[in-house]
Amino acid sequence: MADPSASYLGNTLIEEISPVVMVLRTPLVEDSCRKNGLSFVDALRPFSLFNDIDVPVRTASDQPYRLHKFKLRLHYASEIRQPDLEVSKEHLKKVVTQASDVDTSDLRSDPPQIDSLLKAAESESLSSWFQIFNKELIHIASFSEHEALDHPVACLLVVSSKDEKPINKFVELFDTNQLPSLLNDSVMDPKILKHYLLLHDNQDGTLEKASNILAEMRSTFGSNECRLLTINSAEDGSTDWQDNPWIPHKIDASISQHLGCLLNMDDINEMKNFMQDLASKQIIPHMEQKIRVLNQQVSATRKGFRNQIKNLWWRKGKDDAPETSSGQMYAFNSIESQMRVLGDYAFMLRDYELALSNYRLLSTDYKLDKAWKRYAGVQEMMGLAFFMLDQSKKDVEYCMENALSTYLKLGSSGQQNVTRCGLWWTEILKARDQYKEAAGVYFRISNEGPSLQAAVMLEQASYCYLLSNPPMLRKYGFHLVLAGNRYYISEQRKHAIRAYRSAISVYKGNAWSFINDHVHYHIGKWYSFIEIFDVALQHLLEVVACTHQSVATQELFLRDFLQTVQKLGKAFEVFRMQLPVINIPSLKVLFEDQRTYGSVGAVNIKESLWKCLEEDMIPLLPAARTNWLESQSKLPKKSKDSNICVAGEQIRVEIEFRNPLKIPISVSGASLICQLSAEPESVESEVVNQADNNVDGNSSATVFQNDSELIKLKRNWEQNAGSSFVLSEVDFSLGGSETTVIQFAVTPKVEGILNIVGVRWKLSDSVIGYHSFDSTLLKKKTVKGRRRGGQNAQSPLKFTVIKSLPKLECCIHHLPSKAYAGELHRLVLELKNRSKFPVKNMRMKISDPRFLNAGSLDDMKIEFPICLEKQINSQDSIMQPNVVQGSNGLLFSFPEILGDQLLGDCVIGETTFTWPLWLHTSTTGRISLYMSIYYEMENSSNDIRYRTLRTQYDLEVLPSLDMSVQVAPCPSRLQEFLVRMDVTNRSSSESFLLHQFSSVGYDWEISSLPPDGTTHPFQMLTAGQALSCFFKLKKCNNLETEGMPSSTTLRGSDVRLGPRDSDKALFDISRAPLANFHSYERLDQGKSIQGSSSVDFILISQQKQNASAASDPPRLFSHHSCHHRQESEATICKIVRRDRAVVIDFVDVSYDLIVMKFVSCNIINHNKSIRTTEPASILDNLTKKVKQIIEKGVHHGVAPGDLIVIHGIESGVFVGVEICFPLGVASSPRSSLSGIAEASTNIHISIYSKSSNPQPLQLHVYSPTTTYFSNLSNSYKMALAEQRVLLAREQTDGKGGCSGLDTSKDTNCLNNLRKQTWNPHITSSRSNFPRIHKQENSTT
Amino acid sequence: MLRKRRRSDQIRSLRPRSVARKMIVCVSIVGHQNNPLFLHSFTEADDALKLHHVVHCSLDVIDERGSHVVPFAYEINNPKKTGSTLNETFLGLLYPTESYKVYGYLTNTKVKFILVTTDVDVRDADVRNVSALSLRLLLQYAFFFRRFHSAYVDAVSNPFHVPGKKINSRSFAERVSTIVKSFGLGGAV
Repeated sequence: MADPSASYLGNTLIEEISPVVMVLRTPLVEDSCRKNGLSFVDALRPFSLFNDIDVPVRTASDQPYRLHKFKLRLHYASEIRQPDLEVSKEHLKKVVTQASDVDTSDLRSDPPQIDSLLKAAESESLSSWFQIFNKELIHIASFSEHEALDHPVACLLVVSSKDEKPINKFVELFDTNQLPSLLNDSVMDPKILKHYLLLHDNQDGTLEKASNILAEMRSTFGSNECRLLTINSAEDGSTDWQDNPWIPHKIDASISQHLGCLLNMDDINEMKNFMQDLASKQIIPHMEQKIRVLNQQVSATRKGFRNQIKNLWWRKGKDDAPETSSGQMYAFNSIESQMRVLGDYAFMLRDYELALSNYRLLSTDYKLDKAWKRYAGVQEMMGLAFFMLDQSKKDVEYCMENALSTYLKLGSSGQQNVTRCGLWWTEILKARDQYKEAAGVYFRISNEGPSLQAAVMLEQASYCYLLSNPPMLRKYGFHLVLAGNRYYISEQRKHAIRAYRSAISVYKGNAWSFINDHVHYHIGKWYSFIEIFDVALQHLLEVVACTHQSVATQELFLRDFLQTVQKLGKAFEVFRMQLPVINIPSLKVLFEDQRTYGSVGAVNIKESLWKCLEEDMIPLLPAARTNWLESQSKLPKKSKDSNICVAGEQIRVEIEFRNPLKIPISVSGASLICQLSAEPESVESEVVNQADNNVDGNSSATVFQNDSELIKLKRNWEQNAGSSFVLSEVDFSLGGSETTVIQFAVTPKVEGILNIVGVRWKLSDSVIGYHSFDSTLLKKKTVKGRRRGGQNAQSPLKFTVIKSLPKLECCIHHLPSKAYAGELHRLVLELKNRSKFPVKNMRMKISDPRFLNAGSLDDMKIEFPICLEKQINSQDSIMQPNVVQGSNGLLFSFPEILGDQLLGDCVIGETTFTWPLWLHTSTTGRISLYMSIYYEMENSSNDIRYRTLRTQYDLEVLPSLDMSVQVAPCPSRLQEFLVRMDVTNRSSSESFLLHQFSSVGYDWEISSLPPDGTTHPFQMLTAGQALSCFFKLKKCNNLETEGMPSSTTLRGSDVRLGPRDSDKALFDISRAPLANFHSYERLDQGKSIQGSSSVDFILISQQKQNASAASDPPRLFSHHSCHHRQESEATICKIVRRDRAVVIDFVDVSYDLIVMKFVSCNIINHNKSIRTTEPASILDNLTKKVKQIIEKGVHHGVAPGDLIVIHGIESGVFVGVEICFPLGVASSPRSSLSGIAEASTNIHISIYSKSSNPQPLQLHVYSPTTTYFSNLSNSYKMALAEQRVLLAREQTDGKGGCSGLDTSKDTNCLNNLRKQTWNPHITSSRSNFPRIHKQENSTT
Repeated sequence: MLRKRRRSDQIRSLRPRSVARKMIVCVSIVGHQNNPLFLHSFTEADDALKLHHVVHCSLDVIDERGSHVVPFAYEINNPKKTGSTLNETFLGLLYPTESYKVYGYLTNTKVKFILVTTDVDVRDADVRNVSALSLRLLLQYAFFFRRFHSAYVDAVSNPFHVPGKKINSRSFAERVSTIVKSFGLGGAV
């Protein structure tokens, strides 16, 4: 360590622990000095510090040394007492306030960074006012009785030359009554060194008189003790001091100009000399001498072994004495007081060894006497002496700790001394670079004393942490926060702000958000107290969007923020405000170029879906398309990468706003910021220039001058007044933590380039937030986003505005949002053209014509549902299967000519045009209907030739009736079938009235089963009810017309359901729209087979109406069930009989024949016999087929469940048997061949009408297998005279087994063939025999 | 504001003193970048800010020591014990007149576990009988921290946890509460 006396503390000690000179003066002396704006003491003070004197001194033991630096403390007698606490407090406050005035000039600048703080702390520029403050604190503790440091060493008596009887005045001045209590209370030796000074004011007269007085004084008081001082020698009061020596000593520098204005160089030199003489010739020798005297006394009484024993003994005896901690018991002539004086004098003269030895002695004495304050004072001095001697750290620390804790124990009486002692200690520690420990001491003493003092102490502690190695930044911040808090309590707001500001850098960027919020919030609040609102808002802005705080805190923050904004008195504008939070990636731009949208839902549909839908429609106009592309390339290059929009049409922007707080906030006047310019090139540069101008010039309106982005936005906003476009304003409020999507709109009015720059909103009507759309963020979004890829992915917010075009709007009336399955509605499509220009060539495409269909204008003429009813005079219902063929299935072209009127003219101006649409909800669930309407411009501009209008609707379809139909051949008649219709009401609450059941098919006619009767008397079907009805289906094509089997007409026939006397009209299923929907249903339900055997059924029902809703038109339902095949046109009823079970034993034979009886019965009504004309060929043919089937099965490996057809023949009777092998049995190809009967012989049978003909049936079994004929069917083939081959098939329910060797004796092949009925499940069984169908077709 | 809180806390801290010998006021996890990962206080009062400060400040001490040693447990703060035998772990007065003790635990990945307690009686006790009591206490704290650590490891092993982000798992908070409760009840290890 360096020389301790060279350290800051050493200097301070030399200055602060120095001899006190008591000054007594007459009022006239003071008057003379006042002319200079100074008191007498003040005038002399600059010269009481001697930096370069050279005074030889001898220690008590005659060791010579020299003093180079010395200081005298001049005080008026009135000042020599303990300072009043209140006064000193005020004084301290003044110091702090002054410092705050100096220091807070940069309050508006940004908070300091840690790096700069570290640098500043190292250069100690921060602490200048701390030193002043600390000195003031030390002064407060001065003039205490318990120590001799501040006892006046000398007395300076000053009398003016103007005074009358100056000699008497000198005597009067030292009037004991006015002397300070220290002298009067016999705490100190009243015999004090006196020095007499005669002050002469040169303005009052010549020196002569003064010289006379001086001579007189010399004779009275002795020549050495008298002196003459001349002041005010300057001619005029205009002496200007380059560096006024008094200024550093004056606290209030306001009057500094006139300080010492009447003093010239001679005066000052004289004063200097006077003070130097006083010190070196009077005081120091006096002290030196006193030290000797006292030292001798002390060594005589206390030093040496004997004295110590005696002292101990004597002290012990005094233990019983009453304890007085005030120290009154030590008179000035007591040995303790003398030792103290000796020690202090020695300290002042820097004989630290002597001082220390005395202090040591004293401390034990005081300790024994329990004079704690004195003890602490001595310990304190010991610590300082140790420090000055550069002794061990431990001693210093021990002494200081002792002193401090002893003072602390004293309570309030020791408060000032605690502070002083602590300050000494911290300085000692600082001088030794023990900053951390110093901080701790600061912290300890901060607990004592008023909060202002505590604040300064804490702040100093924080700087100590900063200076410690390594810097303890967090503690630094924490102590700054504490200090700031104390500053605030003691109403030093600027200091509080300064402290908190410095702390910001510690917490910034960290996740310690609670602390960060606290700091920012308080800074903001305090700034607003001192009415620097803009900075206050900057800080409050940091905390206003705090998500992690509690609701109460958020409310508090927000309220204070808004209050501050109000106090600001003008609109507060924030760039990128976090309240509410804008989710930029959620930004969606919705605009219409050639694609227009009819509904919100339509916008959100994927572009590809629309493309797909419009595929057929747009290529129809290849010219338009190429033209459009060409025109695109013709456009200025700038616009190539931008979207195209039409003037007068809205561009909508959707952004997601999120409230980060748990409390609701309200936003008003939110709108987009756009810029529209005619010249594409000039846009960018113009804006930049404007922004630059704004920065340079008057930007008074904005708060953040440096934020050019904000200015840019603002400027754009202000330009809106030009109103080349219209912006929408949205007001909304967000609940706690809520997220909403807000849609903004901008409508350009003129052509040009439109740029959407950002968004602007008002929070709680006071704060204006701006947010720009960062294009880089958006680009990402667009590439993967839903907006069109391709040509305009670059800049989704830049638009080329072209001149206005016609635009159709559409809406569909009567569209229900909820419907029941099968419901039929007539909708009205209304098209509106808002522009003056006509459109032409309109087409429409609907995504699913099964649900929605275009009608014809005629449909509109009659009220629904009457328009669907059968006309009285209508022909026998011949259905036209492809009514919609004209519109090419899905595409519908509106006719150009509509009545007398041209359609193009119709959709003109602000007229509307309606067209009926039919809706049929054929399936349940949610249905989305997409509709695209294409139209061309009459006066096509270059940019866009055509437009499409896209709409989308959602329906929810609830289940209603569930119809299923089964067709079975009529057992009694050949050309008739039984139809069983099962209908179930699956709706939850609705009831339905069955109205009509119709069949659609070639040559089929349906009738109710009891002829001419109603099928079912109970027309109504309530919820959950099921019903079965039977109908008769008849083929009306009789045998005479069989020559032309492939009829092309679809015939419909209807049966009315319900009570017999119902007079309700039947609905015409042969006309649009029912026929159309039916054909789509057919398409949907399966591939149409152009065969005669397919029939479709339609059930028409109505909803049961409540009485209340009677006024509504009845709701009509149609249910379609298609493709019911009836491939077997049976003519023969047959029974296979087998009397007993057969067991075949394959041990004996290689194969066996099973003989069954086959009874055929001709059930055809007419008399014709059935005969085969060319039986041989038919059978040959058949056999081949059978073999093929089997081989195929072998080849491919018969899959389980497949069929093998076996035909047996015996004695001219041909029988075909189909054996269905159950799963897994026909595992090997060989075994699949095993049970085959063979057709070998031609037969010829004739069965006459209504007769039966039993025939034996033979089945060959070749090899032992176990075969379950669980699903056995047999079929036979019969050639009719007309050479039509009919295949009937019969399925037996019986379970048979042909058991081979390995199967036991237990029975039976085909033993329980029971009576067979016609399989009612003919459709389901059909799917089991796909191959058979193919065969059958080919054979016909 | 702070001062007001301090006073109310003083009053409050008087109450549990007689009831519980030591009380865990707050547990906290701080990430390797000194970012708070978890902080849970077990007092009824709204003193989150104060505890944040306390925890934040104690990071200074951990920084100071963590650079050269991975301690298994050490005592950080004891304001009134200047010059006592535990001087080596002396942190300095973290908070005025508040008799908190802060204990720390540093993992290999520089994640810090910080525990703030108010065990006033113990402090007085181990001034008198340092060697026996403090050793037992340290073991107790080490045990606590080990359990705390394993709970933390389980929490961050959650595949949905983003490393370096705050731990918002409710089950983790519950588990920590259980550990803290068992610590308060257990008394001795």
